[in-house]
Amino acid sequence: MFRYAYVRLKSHAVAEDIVQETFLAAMKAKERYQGRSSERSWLMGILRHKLIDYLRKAAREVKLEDVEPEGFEDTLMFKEVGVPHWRPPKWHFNPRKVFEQKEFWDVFSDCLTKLDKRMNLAFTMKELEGMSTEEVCQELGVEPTYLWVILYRARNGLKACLEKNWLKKNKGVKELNAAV
Amino acid sequence: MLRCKQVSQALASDDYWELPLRKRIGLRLHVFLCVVCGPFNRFIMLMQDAKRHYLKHEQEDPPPPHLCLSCDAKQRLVESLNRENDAT
Repeated sequence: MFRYAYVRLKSHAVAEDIVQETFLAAMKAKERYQGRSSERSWLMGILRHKLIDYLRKAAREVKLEDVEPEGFEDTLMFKEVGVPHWRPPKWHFNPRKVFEQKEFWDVFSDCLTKLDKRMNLAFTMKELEGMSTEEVCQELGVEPTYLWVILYRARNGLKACLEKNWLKKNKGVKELNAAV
Repeated sequence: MLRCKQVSQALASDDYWELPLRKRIGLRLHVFLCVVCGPFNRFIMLMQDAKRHYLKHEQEDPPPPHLCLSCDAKQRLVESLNRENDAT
């Protein structure tokens, strides 16, 4: 539960509070638990509600206009084709091959917490929590096109972080194996 | 045949695997053949796959030590639950 909250909220203290609130709410509502789902799923359901409430509040506080635009959304390529004018740089490792390695997902969760607040909010609401484009746009007060731009940038940021940290981690493991 | 903008918009608003099968087939075909939007949309599809794998990992695998509640935090949690229990 703590990992779930921390990755989405980027703050140890807030994540801890949300987990605590979840247990308190569960304790108050324990009579309503009918055992139809596992206790874990029930608690995760409460946590998810609390987390979405918190994200909604946080979204209202983020000033999107403060952020420097990169400008690709005004290019002809973006307007006509819906993609930026540049190609995504190639990966330095085969990402699909590492999907089976648990350590890769630990790096992935660390990278999620390193995204800037605005990207993390948009990515969390849309991708991790599966909120619709309309809902996320309403919460963040942006048009769908701008949300897509934020999500493009979030994915790029995530990719850059994964490249850097996974290669670093892998290099460390290889060196350790060589030393042993 | 889908146009680049339709493909990009579909992938921007929905996860590839949440789209209807018929749309997925047309979309995949376009993305793997198109020299204009292909590289970018293949990247989007890869990142969507990564997210799906991550959510599965998050549900099934235990968290690494640095993403677990600290002993102090667990203690605080127990204390607050006890306080609440005493109050009711």
